[in-house]
Amino acid sequence: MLRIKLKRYLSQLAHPVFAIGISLVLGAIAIRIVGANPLEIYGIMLNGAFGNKYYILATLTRATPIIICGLGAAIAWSTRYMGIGGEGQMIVGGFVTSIFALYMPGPEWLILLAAILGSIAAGGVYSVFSGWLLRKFKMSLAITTLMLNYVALFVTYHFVANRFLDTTTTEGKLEQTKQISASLRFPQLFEGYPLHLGFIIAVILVFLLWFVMNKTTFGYEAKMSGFNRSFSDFGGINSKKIMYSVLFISGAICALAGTGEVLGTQYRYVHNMYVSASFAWIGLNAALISNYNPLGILVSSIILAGIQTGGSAIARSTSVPLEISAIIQGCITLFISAKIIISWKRNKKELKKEQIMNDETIEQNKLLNTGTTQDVLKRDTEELEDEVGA
Amino acid sequence: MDINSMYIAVVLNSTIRLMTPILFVALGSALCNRVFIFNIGLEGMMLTGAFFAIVANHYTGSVVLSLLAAMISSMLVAWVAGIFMVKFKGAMLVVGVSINVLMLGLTTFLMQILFGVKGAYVSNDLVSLPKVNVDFLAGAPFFQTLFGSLTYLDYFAFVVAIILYFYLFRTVSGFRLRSVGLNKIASESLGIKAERIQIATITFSGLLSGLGGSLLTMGGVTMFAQNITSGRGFIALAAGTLGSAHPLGVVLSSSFFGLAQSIGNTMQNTAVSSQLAMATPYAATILALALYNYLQIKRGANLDQ
Amino acid sequence: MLLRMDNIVKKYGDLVANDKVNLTLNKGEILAVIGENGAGKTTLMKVLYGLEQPTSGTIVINGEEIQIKDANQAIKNGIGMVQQHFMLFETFNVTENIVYGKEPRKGVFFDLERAKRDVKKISQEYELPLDPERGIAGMPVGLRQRVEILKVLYQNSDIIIFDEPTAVLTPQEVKELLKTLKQLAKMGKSIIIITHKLYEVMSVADRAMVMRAGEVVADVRIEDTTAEELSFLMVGRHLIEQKIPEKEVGQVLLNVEDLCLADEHGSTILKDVNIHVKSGEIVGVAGVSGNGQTELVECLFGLRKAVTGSISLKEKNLFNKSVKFIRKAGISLVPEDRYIWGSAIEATLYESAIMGHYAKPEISSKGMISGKKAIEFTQQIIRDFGVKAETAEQTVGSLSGGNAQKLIVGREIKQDTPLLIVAEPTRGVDVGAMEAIHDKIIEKRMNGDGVLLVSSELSEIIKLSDRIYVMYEGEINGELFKETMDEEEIGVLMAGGRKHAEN
Repeated sequence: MLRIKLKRYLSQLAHPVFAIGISLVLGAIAIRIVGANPLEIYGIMLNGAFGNKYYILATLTRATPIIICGLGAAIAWSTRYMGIGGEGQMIVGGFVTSIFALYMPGPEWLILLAAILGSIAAGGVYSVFSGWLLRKFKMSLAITTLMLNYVALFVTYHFVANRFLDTTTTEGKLEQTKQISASLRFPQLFEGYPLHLGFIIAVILVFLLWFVMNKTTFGYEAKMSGFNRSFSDFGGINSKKIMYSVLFISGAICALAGTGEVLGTQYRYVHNMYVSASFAWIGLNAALISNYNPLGILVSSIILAGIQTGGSAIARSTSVPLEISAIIQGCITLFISAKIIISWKRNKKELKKEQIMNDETIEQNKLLNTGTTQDVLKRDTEELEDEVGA
Repeated sequence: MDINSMYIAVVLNSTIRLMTPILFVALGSALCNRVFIFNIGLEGMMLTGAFFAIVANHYTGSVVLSLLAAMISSMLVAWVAGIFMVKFKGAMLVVGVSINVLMLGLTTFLMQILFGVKGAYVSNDLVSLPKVNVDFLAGAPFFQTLFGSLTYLDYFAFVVAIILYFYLFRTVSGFRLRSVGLNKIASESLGIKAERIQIATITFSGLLSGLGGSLLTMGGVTMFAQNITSGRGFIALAAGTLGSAHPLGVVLSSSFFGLAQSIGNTMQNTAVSSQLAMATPYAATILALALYNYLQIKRGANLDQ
Repeated sequence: MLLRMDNIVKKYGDLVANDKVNLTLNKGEILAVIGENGAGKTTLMKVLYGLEQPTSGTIVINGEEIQIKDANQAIKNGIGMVQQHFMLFETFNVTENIVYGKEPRKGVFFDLERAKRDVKKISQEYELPLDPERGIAGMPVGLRQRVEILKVLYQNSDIIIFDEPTAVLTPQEVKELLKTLKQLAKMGKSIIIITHKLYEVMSVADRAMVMRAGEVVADVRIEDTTAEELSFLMVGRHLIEQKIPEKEVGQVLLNVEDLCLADEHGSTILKDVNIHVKSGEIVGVAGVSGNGQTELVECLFGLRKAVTGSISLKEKNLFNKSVKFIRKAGISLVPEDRYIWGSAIEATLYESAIMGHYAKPEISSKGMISGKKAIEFTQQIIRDFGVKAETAEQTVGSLSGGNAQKLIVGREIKQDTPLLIVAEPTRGVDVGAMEAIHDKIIEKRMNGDGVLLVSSELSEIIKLSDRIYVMYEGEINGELFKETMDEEEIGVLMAGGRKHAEN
């Protein structure tokens, strides 16, 4: 029993480890082309990411929004609602938080509460809107969430630039709101170091989401609905309810990531603050690498954040540009994507024998006279085409 | 000619210049749609072309070689994406997202290595795409403005659309390409190599994206900036869908985006905020797609496919 | 002799799908290949059409031994196949579909005009009228099949394989098709037709080859045999080994009246279905698959919305209610496809096992699932139903088909509902698992519950059922009782026999 469990965990680990390994090799080639010594560069990178207390805490600070966005992406993607709207959700959340924090009257605890709950509600509803478009108009979730990212970015930009602009500082002409008062900010966990309360929230969310996904009936319903929509229908699970709940939670979580950045690091909403740092995309990468497992997201987010802070370190001290980290990240997910076949092929092989026996009848039932073979193809592969749209 | 018609000419001219980069990529997206591939990596492929056009430009100063470099580089990237999507059965979204992250990183990385700059690379040594001379229209200022400062590549985008139209609907090869997206199993049952067609199509969509990208860096302006595509590949993706994956439909949908952007740009001088104007093309995409799908559903078409 | 397949053996691992099969075909002959599901007919045809490679054996055409590596080569060798599931492109028109893969060209261009002329020509030549410019979408099945036939003729095939060609046709369309087949044979084409339907075999074929369990059990000329003999050969002589104990039946549990169902295009799938199940009885629904059984079950279970009629369980209205409501009201279902409806292959055994149970206090409380209880519950099913599994935490995909099926049967029987619907419970499972599943179904009945057994496996129906409905083309084509049950009569009804006789 234990042996099987261990074997399963190890086999789950094998693929990401392979992907990370091969990506580091590719990164090394890029470094070599620049003319530097890969081992030396990786050494500097490792040191810059985890070398001392300051670096570690800087990495964890950077990992905070990545973890949260990863969790947000994971719940939706594992249920096969593959939107790419994390960025927009962060923007909506962060913006709402900053407006509440700056302009709401009342006691501080109430402002803080409103700032957080407002962010959750706004991010959730915003995310559900894409789901509504999917259900009502069969619009590809990928396209709508992508477009909405830009709408969110520019609409908040409009408000920041024209309504809430910080006119006190003119230096650099940054489009940003005023700073929120010190009493509303997330406290730093270590005096003088950037790491803030948001990290604790991220870790709590990791366990919360793990709990919800693995221990509750809701998590079970969502998981089964993601595995096989027909099976969950057969079991009496309401897939519409699952879709909206999952998208709401996903949006709300990503919005919290935005809130964390506003209250924890920037202390204001700055136009483009999430986009330029690619938090949501890297969070999605973390979710993909860890196969949507919350604990895995915690780990892989810290690794990805480490690659980034390490990248900054080498950019500071060597001629190798910071973007080496993006190259490594992109390669990792590219090689992770091939994972799907490995598990898929194994199952296929086991099904093969079955299929021959059932060939005639199963197919007949699946298609009858009106279906097309495309339907079978779709059902068989259970791939992402669902989300592709026409 | 009164002021108003000149204003229209200016808007239409900028519409054309804004739409052609998107049109190239959207045609690629349309082809991918036709073989049942959702290629979100077009953004990264476009960026690749945009970058390598400038690289070749920097080293050779030749327009032809720059375009060649743009096409070949983004084709290579597209081919890799195609292998991962079709041969390795990687999830299309994941492969696409990875390609985008990777190419954004790689182009910025190489920009620093090759040009030694961060953010953007501009140089007087860079040549830009030759523009079509419209002096002969001097007698008709409206048309002179309308067709002013367009490059040959801008016109070529429309030519490609027409060629693709004939390719898809008039040639045997185009016929088979379309069949793959309709029913892969049926096409394979008659001995057609469907996967090979899919990969080839993705690769070709890379070539088109490269051309679209080079229009961005060698058309109106001649420079490369980090993430210069900034979502145009995604818009092209939407344009491909909105244009029913039909080359001429894509011309229409791309011009719609061009117009939305052009109007957005001109609105910046009016009461409407420039920021909201920037959101227009994206919001318009959603609205247009919703309307389009609504009409399709009402017509009873099956959009699940 | 035009075609000879000698000693064809096809193995999938240790499963022998074709065991030393010999097939011969003469010019202008119609050969019917008949047999039950899994008898190996389809595999044999796939070998002939190049979709599968034989483990051993040879194929000889016109005295020449050939290798058929893929469909392309089959087509080149004059073999065409009209697949059961039409390989058509919905948005292409008739001409485009017919010439696909062998398009007339003008340079790189598709010569559509010539294609239309060619299609028109063969359509006239073989008396299969069809508008070359008509679109496929919205075309009735019979015409779609005609497109498929023309496609094969366009490819110049001399040998045409028809895989269950009448499975999806209306009686009128069947008559048309049989006429066409005879016409084609008269014009020199050789035809292999794979079918279940003995009436059609008798009326059209020159010779019948009967397969059972991968082997040829008979190869007879039609004039030397009867439909009864063929059905006997097909099914094999089944002695009912097990005497099912008597059981007093109780009150009516499930009552279905005048149930009608249409597909999204509005064509009828179920027409005025009236059935009932009493407590303490197993009621079989027999029929060739594709005659509405699947949809009937989906309607009963809330997975599909019917048009009119009534469904009630113990007088509680269940018509078009949600699955959840129906499960609660007291119906459980062993679905016919264990990987599409019955489980998720990526899920663990316990995740699959608690479907439908997870909200009950045995498994969860206050919305929280107890992993320990779920695993215990699963282990109980594993024990009670003899599922061969290492642990409750392995994936469903890692189980053999029979064991996955036992898990699903166990899960549904454990719902302990007054009515259990079982659809194709033993399809594709080995004999041992089949016996075990049958025992559990009988046990359920002995507990005084009702069972609705839907199966295209006639022997299974006959063995277990107290009463049988036979479905044909979405209607109940007859009801039989255990005491007076007659295998041949059922076979006749399944093939639409009585209806034909009445016509």
